[in-house]
Amino acid sequence: NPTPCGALRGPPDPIISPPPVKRRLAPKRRTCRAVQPMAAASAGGAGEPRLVDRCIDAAARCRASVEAWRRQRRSLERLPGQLADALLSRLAARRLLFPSLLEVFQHSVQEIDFSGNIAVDAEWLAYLGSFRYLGILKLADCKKVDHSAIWALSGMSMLKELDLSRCSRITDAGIKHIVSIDSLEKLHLSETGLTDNGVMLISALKRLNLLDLGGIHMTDKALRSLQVLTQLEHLDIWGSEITDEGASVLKAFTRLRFLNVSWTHVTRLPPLPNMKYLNMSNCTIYSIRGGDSEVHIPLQKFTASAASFGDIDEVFSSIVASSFSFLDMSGCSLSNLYGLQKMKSLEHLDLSLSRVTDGAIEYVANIGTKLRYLSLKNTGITSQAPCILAGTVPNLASLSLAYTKVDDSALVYISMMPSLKVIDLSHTSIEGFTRVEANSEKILSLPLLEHLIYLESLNLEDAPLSDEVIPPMASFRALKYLYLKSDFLSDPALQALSSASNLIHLGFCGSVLSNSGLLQFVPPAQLHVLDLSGCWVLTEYAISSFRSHHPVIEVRHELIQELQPSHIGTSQVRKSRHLPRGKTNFFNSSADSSRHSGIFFVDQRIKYSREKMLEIQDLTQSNSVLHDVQLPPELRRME
Amino acid sequence: MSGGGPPRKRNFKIEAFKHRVELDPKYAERTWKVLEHAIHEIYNHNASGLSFEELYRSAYNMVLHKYGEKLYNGLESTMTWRLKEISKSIEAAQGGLFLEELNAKWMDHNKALQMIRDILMYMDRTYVPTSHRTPVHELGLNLWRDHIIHYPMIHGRLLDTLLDLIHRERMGEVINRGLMRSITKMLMDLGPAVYQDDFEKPFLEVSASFYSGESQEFIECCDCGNYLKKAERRLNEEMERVSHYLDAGSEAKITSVVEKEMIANHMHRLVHMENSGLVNMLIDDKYEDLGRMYTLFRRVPDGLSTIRDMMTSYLRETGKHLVTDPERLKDPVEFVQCLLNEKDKHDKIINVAFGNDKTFQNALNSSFEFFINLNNRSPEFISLYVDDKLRKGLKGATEEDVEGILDKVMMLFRYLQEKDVFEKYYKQHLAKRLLSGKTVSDDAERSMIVKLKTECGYQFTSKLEGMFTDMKTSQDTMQDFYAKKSEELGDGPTLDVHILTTGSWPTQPSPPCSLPPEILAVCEKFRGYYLGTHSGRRLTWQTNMGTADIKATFGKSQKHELNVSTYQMCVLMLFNTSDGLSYKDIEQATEIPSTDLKRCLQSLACVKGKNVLRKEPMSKDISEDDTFYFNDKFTSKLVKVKIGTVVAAKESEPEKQETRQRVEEDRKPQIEAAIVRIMKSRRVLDHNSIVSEVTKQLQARFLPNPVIIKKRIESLIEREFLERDKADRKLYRYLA
Amino acid sequence: CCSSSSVSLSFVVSSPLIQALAREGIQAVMVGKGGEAAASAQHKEEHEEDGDMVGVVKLISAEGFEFVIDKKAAMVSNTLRNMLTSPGGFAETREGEVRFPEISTAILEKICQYFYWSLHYASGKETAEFPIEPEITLELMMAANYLDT
Repeated sequence: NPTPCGALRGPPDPIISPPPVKRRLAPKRRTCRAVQPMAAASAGGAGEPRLVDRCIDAAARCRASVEAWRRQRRSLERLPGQLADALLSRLAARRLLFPSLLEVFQHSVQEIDFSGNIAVDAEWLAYLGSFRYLGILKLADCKKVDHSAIWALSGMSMLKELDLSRCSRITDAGIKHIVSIDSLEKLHLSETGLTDNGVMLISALKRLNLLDLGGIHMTDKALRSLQVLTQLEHLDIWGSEITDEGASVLKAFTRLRFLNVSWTHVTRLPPLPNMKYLNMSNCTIYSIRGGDSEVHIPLQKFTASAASFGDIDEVFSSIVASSFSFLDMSGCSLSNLYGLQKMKSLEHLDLSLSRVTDGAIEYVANIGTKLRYLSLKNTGITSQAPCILAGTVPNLASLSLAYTKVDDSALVYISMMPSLKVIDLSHTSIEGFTRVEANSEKILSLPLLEHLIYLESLNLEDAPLSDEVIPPMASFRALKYLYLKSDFLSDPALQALSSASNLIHLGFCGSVLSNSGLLQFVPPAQLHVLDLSGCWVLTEYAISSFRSHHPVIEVRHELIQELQPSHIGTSQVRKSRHLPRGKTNFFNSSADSSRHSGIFFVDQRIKYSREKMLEIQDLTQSNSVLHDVQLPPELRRME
Repeated sequence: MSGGGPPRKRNFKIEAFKHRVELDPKYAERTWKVLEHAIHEIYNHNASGLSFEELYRSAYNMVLHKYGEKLYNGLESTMTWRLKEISKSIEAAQGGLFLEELNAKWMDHNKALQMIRDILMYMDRTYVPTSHRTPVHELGLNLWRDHIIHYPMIHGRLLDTLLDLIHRERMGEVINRGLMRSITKMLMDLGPAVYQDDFEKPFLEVSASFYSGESQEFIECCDCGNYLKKAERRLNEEMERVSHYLDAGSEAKITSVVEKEMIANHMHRLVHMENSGLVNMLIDDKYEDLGRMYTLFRRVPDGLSTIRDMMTSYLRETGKHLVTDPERLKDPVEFVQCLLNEKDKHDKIINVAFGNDKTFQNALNSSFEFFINLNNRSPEFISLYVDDKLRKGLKGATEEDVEGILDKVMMLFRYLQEKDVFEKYYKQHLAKRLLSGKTVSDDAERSMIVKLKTECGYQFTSKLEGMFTDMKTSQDTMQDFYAKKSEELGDGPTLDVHILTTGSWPTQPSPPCSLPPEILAVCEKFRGYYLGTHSGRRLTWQTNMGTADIKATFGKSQKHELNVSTYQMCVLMLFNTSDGLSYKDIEQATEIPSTDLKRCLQSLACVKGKNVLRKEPMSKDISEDDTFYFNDKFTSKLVKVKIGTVVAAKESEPEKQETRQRVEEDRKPQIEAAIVRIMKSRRVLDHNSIVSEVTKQLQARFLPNPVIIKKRIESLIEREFLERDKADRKLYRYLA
Repeated sequence: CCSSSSVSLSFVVSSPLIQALAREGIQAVMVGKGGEAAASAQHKEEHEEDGDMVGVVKLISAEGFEFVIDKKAAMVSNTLRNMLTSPGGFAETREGEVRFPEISTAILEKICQYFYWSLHYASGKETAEFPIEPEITLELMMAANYLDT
């Protein structure tokens, strides 16, 4: 089973197998973590670090500096909590922490986040157990933590929050120790080895207001046992075996504000009068108020990615429209948006991968006044959709029309959406020009976007742009991020972008850029990243001399890894930066190439995004991208 | 250390905190007592003995040792206790001292609060955010609000005092504004909600009822102008009050109260007020009052439209009266002058009092347009006015004056719907001026033409310009004629011919009269000369339009030069051969049309001082039985006597009808041309659309009558330019 | 001024950095107990200007060592800023001196150095590392936290 080199977590198809969706939830929660200690330590000093920060930095500089202060027992006792927290986390980040050093913090530290630190084991926890003032302990993804390690935590009296997410060795036996910490208010146990028996023990923690049991195969019986936890405000039980019957006990949680029941068999929720955030992705949804038409749920955020609706009108009519601002219906196979017509407060609307066509856009236009984010990625819309939307979305800041049939005629309408900051037009038919009649003169269409004075990010990857249409983009005043990827681009296009004065990130992938073209390129003053991935004509010489002339610019290209084989660390940073953009190129892992799994090659022609892959698989037609390109010998043999 | 040598600093032990903090159970209580004592001392103005560092350190250590909550709660209850004490002393303050006491205590509390916050800064920085408590300063304000401002014994009294002071100030008393300012600022410091709920809302309510009462009182006893003065003063007072001692955010609110109570509620009554309302102000040019009304009414919804509507209906009414008053119609020049004066008057009002408001200008214009066109003689009269000015009125006027007058005329011209009628008259009047040589200034004439041209385009004035060209050519021709034929002509009468291009001039076909033989001879010579140089042309004498200078010798051999029309000349020449002639004789000999002849005889025989003929019987009017004699006894102080025809400056009713007829005739081809133009581009169009488009195209010249348009369409159908659609009879189709 | 005094108890805590700064025109005065006359003369002046940024303030360590520094430098610390600008006349404001019974001389000296260093480099044109010896990091950290700087 070949693992894709693109460093994506999980298999490529989100619809077939759940894990990637689940995983996607985890980092989001982690970013919610309070950053209080650091904020307190560095308050006031904007930019310039304060003396306190300098001291923390100096104290965690190296092993020797740690040794220099660690014996000052009395000082450590008097260390204010927020300083201790900051110092500890700095030491952990610099990998200077070891179990016996923990001991010196036992009287001061209030909050610890060891998430993802694989060194953490029973010995560490043995020390942590004696931390008198510890209020928050985060051990997510600490794989060595098991039930016997947890034992050390039993009886802690100040601990309010414990995060053991994805500590897969935590089992029912471990829960016995946890339930002895009766001060706990927040408990994260998602994707641990818990079973029904363990879950039922949790009912002893009466103060819990947050409980995350995502990815645990618990049943209705276990959920029923949790009914006594009436303080719960946040409950995460995605991927469990809960059914409608089990869901009916949720009504005991009258304070519930957040509920995630995605990937379960739940189709009906009892009325929960305070619910603000609901995730029912990959569920079949009939009702979210137990069919009680008197109740209206004050939802703010509703995630229903890849869900199917048994009765969509019932679902939407039960939401209080005035506070409803976020709706994710990506991957829902729905084509009718009639239910949205009252949702005039929506700010975020994701309809990507749905069956929406131009006809349904009218409903989006009707509720467009507050809309700030709209994704129509990978839907059946055409240029008609922006035409309908133009003039109805005064606040729209982000628009994605990627993977649609949109062409140049859409640009005039897009230019009428005055607040746009981010536009994704990748994988569309935008050519950058139009013709009035079949053979008449070309009229450039991209200059239309110059009206968008806030436009910061423009993605035109895999749109069939040619050199001649690029120059107008250099005069987009606010443009900071530009992503281009086209076989037809070459040296002149890159030269033209020299004058794009505010550009920070320039993607110029897959083009026929020559060595001289790169060396003659005068980068804009602000440019920070130049992505030349897949510019296969370039040689190591050109790339390395460009980098030496412009050391502040981070250049990305397949050859760079070969240039610096020792700098694995930095290249991983580079990859992780890819992720937020949602750009997940990976190498062909289809049956064909698996036969050649022994061959390692880098070739721009065989890279496709996941969506493109699906598309090609559906089409079952021969790969038209492979025309007139010189193939490496291995592949030639294959053909 | 006592050795005095330089220190070796490496010798200092890093372990600096001397007193080991033992976990003495009474530690927290003891430390708190220190701080509590300090808080009291601060409120007692005794802080100078306190050490900031010591207090800060105490608070720091309490927080460090997790006694933050104790510290915070202690602070809250100590401060609450102090504030309760303070509230008692404020409550005890008598009468006028109440506000002063409140203010003084507020100042104290504020200062104390700042000091307390400073010494408890560490708690604010660490304990407060992590345990989600209210920061010290805000806590102090909230406690002040709850225990002082909302304390029942103070709350109502404070509001009453403030409102009472404001009322007294409104009634003319002088109050302590500085104190007021401090108190309102305190309310704002406690949060906008406190200011609004505990002061502003009741203040606005009380103000509304005050002004409601006062405005009622004013409106009963004041005239409009005085009322507005009082309202303006009140409004300014309130704005000044806000700037002195209320929050700036109150300005819009209180002014809107005054506006509503004093203006909006009485707007209509004010405008219509008998003897002093808007109409009287307009009549009496009360610029100041009008200006005040404008600025005040502008502040309220529908205020300006109220003034504007009233002004419009007044203008229309007076205008209508003006243009239909039969007295006015007697003198066209006076009539137009009257319109101009009216316009000037109101322009000045709009300029001075209404800030040149565009909407008022538009209202004025639309009113003028409305009533000027109520009288269909307006085009004629305006042309006559120009005629009067260019004939004599402008003598001695500077170029700027001329321009000014002409510009004003143009302004009236713009209001005219039937511009083509104006053109017709203008042409006639211009022709008369040119032919009789009465035009005062060529420059002025041309300037007027240029104005018309810029207003209506080249077509409108091409014929007028043709007239000027004819005049110039005629002059050249005559010079040439005399240069070439002078010996042939001998001593005969001098001839001056104006050759008028047919079509450019408003000539009406009139049969030439029979000229005296001397004249006829010269005329024939000219005809010979002209046709000799310009072959293929035809000359027709327009004897009705000429003038003549003749020398006459009267009884006592006084000699006079008489300036007469061609017709008059013909009549007078008859008396060279006979002394007395009957009307019939004259008519037969001259063949002058009878209306013209009568007018011409009237001017020769019936005008005192110019009666070169004597008529029997003597009467004012000419009858066909009259007999005329040469008046031997004619005398005049002047050598040159100008005998004008009795001018029918204004057209008579039949003439008017005739002109009308010709105008209608001229319009036909224009309407047809417009229809064809439209249909050519549109191909198919329904009836209503044609009518509206034709109207749109022609409205610069005149407003075509839909009935006439319909007739023209029918005529075009007859001539097969258009056809009706077979299926839909309302549709017309263009036939190429 | 007063860098060397004849009084037997006096001494000077010398610091190359501060001397360097003094050469550059920033007035840094550090005196031992011997310089009292001069210091009191100075704080009389300062008293008249009342809470302004000009003048000097005396910081006294746990062991009784005195550091006379510019007020401007002291203001780098938010705690000192509050202390010196708080209304109502606390003892420190009146006397122009602050005692720190829990801060040792070495740490207080380091703190003073930091004040001047911060003033000098706050403009950001030049950068230089502020040296912190590993042995004092914790003490300094706590003092800095105490002084909110």
